[in-house]
Formats: sequence, C-alpha cells, structure tokens
Amino acid sequence: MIPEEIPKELEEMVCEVYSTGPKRYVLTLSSYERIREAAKTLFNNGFRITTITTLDRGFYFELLYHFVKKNIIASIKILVPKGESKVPSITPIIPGANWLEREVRDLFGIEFVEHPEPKRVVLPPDWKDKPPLRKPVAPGLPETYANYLMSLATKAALASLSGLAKRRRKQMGLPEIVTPVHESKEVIEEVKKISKELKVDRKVPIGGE
Amino acid sequence: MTLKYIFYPGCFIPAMLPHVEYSIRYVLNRLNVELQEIPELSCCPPKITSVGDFKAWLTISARNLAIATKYGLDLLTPCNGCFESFFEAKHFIKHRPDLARDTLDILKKLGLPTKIESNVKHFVEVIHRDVGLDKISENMIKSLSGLKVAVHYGCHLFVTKPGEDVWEKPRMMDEILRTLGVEIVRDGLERICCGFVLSTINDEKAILERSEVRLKSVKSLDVDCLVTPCPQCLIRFEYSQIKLRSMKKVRYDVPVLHLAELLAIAFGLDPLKMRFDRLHRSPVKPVFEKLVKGGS
Repeated sequence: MIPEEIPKELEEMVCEVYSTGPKRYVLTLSSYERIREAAKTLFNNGFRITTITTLDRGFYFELLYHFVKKNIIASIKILVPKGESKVPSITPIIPGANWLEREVRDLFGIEFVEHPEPKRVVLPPDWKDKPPLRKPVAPGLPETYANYLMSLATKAALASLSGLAKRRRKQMGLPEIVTPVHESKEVIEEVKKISKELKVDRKVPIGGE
Repeated sequence: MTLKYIFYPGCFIPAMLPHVEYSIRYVLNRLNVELQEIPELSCCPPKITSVGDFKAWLTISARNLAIATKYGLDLLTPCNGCFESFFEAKHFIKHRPDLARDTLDILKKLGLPTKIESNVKHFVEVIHRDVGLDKISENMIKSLSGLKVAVHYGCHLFVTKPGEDVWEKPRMMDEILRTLGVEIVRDGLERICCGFVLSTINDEKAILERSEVRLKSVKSLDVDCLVTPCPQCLIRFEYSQIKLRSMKKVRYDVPVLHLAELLAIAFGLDPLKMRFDRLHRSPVKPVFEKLVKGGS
C-alpha cells in the first residue's frame, strides 16, 4: 500500500514498500525499466532528486534514487542485473540528475540509456581501467547461478540423464535420446561458442577449445 | 486434422519424472497430436540463468526458437520453466531490439533465422485450445468423478503478454479437470510459490516458508490429492514432504499428481500396472486404486 504522502500513480509500478523512519519510505519498482516513469511521476508531484546511491550486490546492482518533498523522503529502489548494466536515464526528465548518473556510470560501469551527455565526471577522460567500484560478477554470483551458467555453457543443459533415469526410461519404452538432456557434441560446441562470444567465460570457467 | 509440434519436455521430466513423460506422450498420442523430436535443441535455458548472464540466456533460448522457426513448427512444452523462458525470449526479441542486437547477430552467424516465427505452447494450452475439450470427452474411457483435488498451477502458467488475462491458462487447467469429472476444491493459495526457485538459494527456507504453507492448507481441505501441470512443483511438493518428516517430524501425506497422469488414466492407462506409484515420492497408490477401481 502506497503511503498517503506518495503519489498514488506509483502503486502499480511498485512491488514492495517499507519505511525506515518517520516520513521516510523506500519503494522498490517491479522492473528497473520503469525508473523513468516513476521519476517523472514524483517530479510532476513536486519531488526533487537529491542523489543516487548504488550498491554492488555481486550479481546485480541496487540503485536508490532519493527524492525529497518538504520533510518527506521517497527512495525509489531498482535492481539491475549485472549482465545487463543498463538503466533508462532520468536526465531527460530531470536535468538535475545529469551528474548523478554520470558519477554512477564512472564508478560502476552502468550505462544510462538516452543520457544527453554521457561523459566522464569523476574519472579522468583517459581512464582505461575497469570502473573502480564495480566488483567482478563471479565472486558475488551465488554458487547455484554460477553452476547453472557453467553447466549451460559447457553441457548445453542443466541436467543430464543418470544411469537410473536411463534404465527407467528403457523399462517404460521411452525414447533413449530426448531433448534437451542428450549429449550431442554439435549442440554442446555451438552453445559453448555462443557463451564464449558473449564472454560468459569471464564469469565462470568454460574450459579450453 | 493432425496437430504437429516440436516436443520439448525440458530436463526435469525426462530425467526425474519418466511416468509424467509417459503420460504426456500417451495422452497426446490418443489425441492425435504428432510430436517431432529435434536433437539440435539445447537447454531452454531457465529464465533464472539471466541473473547470471542476460545475453547468454536470451541467445541460447532464441537459438532454440530459431531452430523451431526453421522447421516451421511451434514448440510444445509440458514444463512451466521452459515455457516461461521461451515465452519471454520471444518477447525480448520482438519488443526490445536494443537488448536483442547481439543475440540476432549470433543467430545470423549460426545461419539461423533472425525473424522468430515459432511460438511456445504449454501442454495445458495445446490440450485445451488447440485440441479442445470436446476431443478430451470423446477420448475418455472413464470419468474421474468422485475425485476431489486441490490444484497448484505453477507460477509460470501465469506468464502472459502484457495486458492479457493472467488467469487464462490456469482456467484452462480447471476446465480440463472438470471435463474429466474432477471436483476442484479451493483454498485461495493456488498461486503461492512452491518454493522451487527459492530452494536454489535456501532449501530450508523454501520448504518452511513456501512448500509447507501450501501442504498444510491442502491437508486441511480433505481432498484426494494435489494436481499440478508443473514438474518443478510436483518434485518440490513431494520432496518437501520427505524433508519435513526429518526436519519437523511432521507428516502431511499429500499425494501429488501431474495433470497428464489424470488425463492418461481417464483415457485408459492403468498407473498401477505401469508402477507409477513407485516413481512418486508421495503416497499416490490409494488415489490410483480409487481411480482404477472406480469411475464409469
């Protein structure tokens, strides 16, 4: 339920609301793609942006856009998959967000799509290294997801048929080879090729050629 | 007219639920649905892999859809997870060219179509919409009247295009069950998560805060069994009952069946002769006995 101080239009964009103190609310958007819409709603209702906080959660980023109106603070939270690292820019709606987004871009490597001036603001223009506050994905990638990715990239499947499953299938007269739990070398090689092209091997080991 | 699809059973059903795969093939065969098996297909992969790498998920999923397009057929899957993955991949390819650019480049390099024409259809949709309830009635050898069930649709059966009715496919499942003569008993928790996805991070939490919530409620409904069209839900509810016996010394003894098993029984399959009860991890034998002996 949206608190009465917050515009009601946000209701259908938000999947979680909680309070961290008097007149202090955190609203999580159901999709980070709706940040511009949410920012526009707040802006049109007299809220102004103060800053953006970014947290590197390992396999995703948590961005908090802090909006203020008199003594009310509304922080819009979005979760952005690190594999994507792109967020719609709110600068076309709120010009004051220009430097805030550029700072996040410099430090975390998140692109703000349709930012009118995507230039360095904190780092020197000739900075060649990775964004200084961006952590590699792998250490933060929960073991399960790392295993999924590795299994996908190396076996083209998350599961395979055990000896018991094969025996049971045979007893029941089910086909011996079934998609996608076969072990076709051609399919595995093609999926491995795709994974390498997309640099999945930077996150999980895929193995040699 | 023969309906024809590329059969994509996913990994859970072939690897862990051969009785479900057998029932699905049995039912589709009776309904004159032709299945083409395509060995070039890979893992769907589940949408959850996009957390680790969005582009890898999208590209590998789109590759499967592109292969289906090459064959000029839709994919039929009985797995809610595969259904979600293909459904969403097609959506991204069609509506988010900014995110799909690399994927389309790779498809092109692989010599695959970049215009994805094929769709994914869930087993429930094929049975209800493409085949039709009349055909189900025509093929029924026995009614399952007298069977009272709770249903668990599985989250991804609610996946739709923006603006569409999310209850459309779950309602299809209800109508299929009613056509079989089954009585559905509600507890309002049909849409709760079974705990499968959470279990990949925290199994105990998934059992106690997801699976057990539904099991406890279903137990109080006084039904014969819980029916699901989702392999993950089936596995989860059976496994959680076993774990709860050691974790909390609680027995729920809720039989969990797949929708296809009920259809197959109505079409004449004897699950006891096929020893399906030995492949389940919940006490389904009394339900099978009731259905095999009873009915008309």
